[in-house]
Amino acid sequence: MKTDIDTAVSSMELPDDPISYFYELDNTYFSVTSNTFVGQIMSQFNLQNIADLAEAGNDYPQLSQEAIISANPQMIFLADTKCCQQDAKSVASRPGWNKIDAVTNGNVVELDDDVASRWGPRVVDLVKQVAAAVAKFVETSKK
Amino acid sequence: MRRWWIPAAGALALASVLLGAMVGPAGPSWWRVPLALLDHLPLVSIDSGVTPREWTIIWDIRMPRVVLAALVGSMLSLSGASYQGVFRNPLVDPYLLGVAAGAGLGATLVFTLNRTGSSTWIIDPLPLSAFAGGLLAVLVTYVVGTAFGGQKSASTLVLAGVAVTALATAVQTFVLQRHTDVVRQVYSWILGRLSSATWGDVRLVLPYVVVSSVVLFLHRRLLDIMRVGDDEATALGASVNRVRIVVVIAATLGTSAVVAVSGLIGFVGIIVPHAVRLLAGASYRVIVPLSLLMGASFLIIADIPGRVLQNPSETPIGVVTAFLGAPFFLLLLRTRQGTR
Amino acid sequence: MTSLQFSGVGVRYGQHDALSNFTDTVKPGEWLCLIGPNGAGKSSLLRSVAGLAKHSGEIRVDGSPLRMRSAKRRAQLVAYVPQSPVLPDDMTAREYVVLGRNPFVSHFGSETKHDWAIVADVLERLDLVDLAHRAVGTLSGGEKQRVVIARAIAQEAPILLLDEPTSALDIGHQQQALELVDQLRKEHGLTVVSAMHDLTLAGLYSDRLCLLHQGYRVVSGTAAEVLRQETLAEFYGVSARVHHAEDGTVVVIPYRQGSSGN
Repeated sequence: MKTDIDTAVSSMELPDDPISYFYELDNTYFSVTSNTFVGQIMSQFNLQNIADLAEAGNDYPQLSQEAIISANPQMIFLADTKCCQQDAKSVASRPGWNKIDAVTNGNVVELDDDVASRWGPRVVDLVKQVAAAVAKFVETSKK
Repeated sequence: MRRWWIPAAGALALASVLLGAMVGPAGPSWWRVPLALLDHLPLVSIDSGVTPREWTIIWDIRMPRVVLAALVGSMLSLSGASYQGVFRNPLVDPYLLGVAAGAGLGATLVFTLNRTGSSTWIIDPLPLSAFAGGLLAVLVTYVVGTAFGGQKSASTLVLAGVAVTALATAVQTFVLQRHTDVVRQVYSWILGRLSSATWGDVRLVLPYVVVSSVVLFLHRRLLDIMRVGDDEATALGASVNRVRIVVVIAATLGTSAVVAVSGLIGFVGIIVPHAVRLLAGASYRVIVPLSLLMGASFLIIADIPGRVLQNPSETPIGVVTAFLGAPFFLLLLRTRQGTR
Repeated sequence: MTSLQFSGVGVRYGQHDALSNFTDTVKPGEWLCLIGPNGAGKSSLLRSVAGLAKHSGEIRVDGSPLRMRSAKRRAQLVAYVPQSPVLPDDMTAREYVVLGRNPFVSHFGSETKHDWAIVADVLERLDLVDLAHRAVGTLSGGEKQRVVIARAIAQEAPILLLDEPTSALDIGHQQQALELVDQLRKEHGLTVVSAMHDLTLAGLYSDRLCLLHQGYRVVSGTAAEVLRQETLAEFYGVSARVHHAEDGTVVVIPYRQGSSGN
């Protein structure tokens, strides 16, 4: 499986500058730091987690909306599409969130809860989805 | 007789709103905030140096949160004070008759049902279920309390409330035990949250809070009469049972509404009326309006540390009030020792 | 001045009849004192007038039935002082007395200047002005009793009910309280019904005594008529002599078995 991940990463063009992202676990803005396995996968793609600024020791911090909007992530990954019925549209309709770059540029990625939260054979699907999203980001930002 | 209490509390409430708007983990420097607020008044134009993203933080994120905190704080305090009046016990909180347990159960059921992939609802089922749960619990309490022996006394109601709370909590625990994957979500809801407050939430809650507050405010003199006990109050011409029912309904309506939107924020309903009692005396004519105003200030200010201490993450408001609650009761114990 | 009329009044608690078929007429301005052993039905009778006990039969004030009246209207006619009044520790005397104005204050409204004027007047007449802003819990027994009576007077009701008004007081304050009630009765033309344990005092202050026993009305009349040795022995089970003083006061004197009797 590790080789699959490596293949996915090396086969695409990574951006020069790290891309900031917010990983949403649920609709009360629980997130993951890059110490978690999901976070580590993201880091492989040169993605920088805005939750890393939270205090050390807590790998699943709950972020405040002010912090998220202020950090202005370029990508948002939704891991609460199933549990909490969130999607790109619902995120855009949250008051204040339409000022975030990820939302204005259409870089809100809807992941499958089950795929995104468990370490298992389906992790490859997650990696492929992330790779595709990053690739799209790089494409659109070139224009 | 200390007429300045109420205007002072009002001024404090306004100051708290301003303070809440100025302080935050992100956004513009605190002194720019009043300028930005003034700038947005119809005929005023000031250059506050605030960017559109910063303004969105102030107006879309912070202000609704502050306003909601004010509404929740005042409603819980007012309900607490009113319950203390009709049950003649200064240690009663607005969750006495089962509102908290019922709302918690309603919320738990929504969280567990969502998991089975139900289709997206047109309206958010969570506040609705919590609201209904709260109201239903109190209804059951009332029915149970008056069914046995037909006595509508205060103590039978309280006992019924204890029974209903125990039952609702038991069911909730049972359900959670079989759906451990939603435990974190439920727990987070129980701890209370103002973090996702929107103007929509404020609009949702406002009519209930207004109606409830007006009704409770009108009853402040009657609460004073209840202080001499049901018998003497009746002999003085008060319709004790009617007053009790109306006050319970109004307080429950308001409490259920705010709980539905902000979860179970504890201690506010006891601390504030009690502090008011210690400061301004035991007459409900004073306690009722003061609890309303001081409750707003209290929760706005209590919300501030939760927002900024662990930046960028948050401490749930329920944790903060709990931290304030424990020392408050210890302090109470000490002052009572002193006076006895 | 107002009359109070009882027709076949009965009070039942569960299976037990606390009061049965009580019929009597209290004349306007009269002071009737109910006497009788514990459980005789005195409190039940008073509570039924105050609207606190469900009763059979009819109670009429100046001819019209009390039952038809709302609680507020009843409170304008009847002021009730219970045996152990609830005195919230942290309520001031003034706040406590103004509760007596409730029958005249609109449901959601506040007291008017007129109400507060009456309160001030009552406080003055009962010598409570200095205590007006003191918490009721800090007052002495005698002062508390005056405050309770003050609240009843503030109600301006023509009928005053007193359940054991002097049981918790020392002999000096007992006399003070009863003198006060008598004085106010004459000033305001009140009709008073009281329940008392102290038979001598009961006879001394009331116009008429009514002896109750196990819920039944046994006998009614003046102190001289009712307070007789045989009567007391039969219904109280007490060994007592009855002495008629020169001024007409009937004094009940218990004696001990074995000491020289009559």
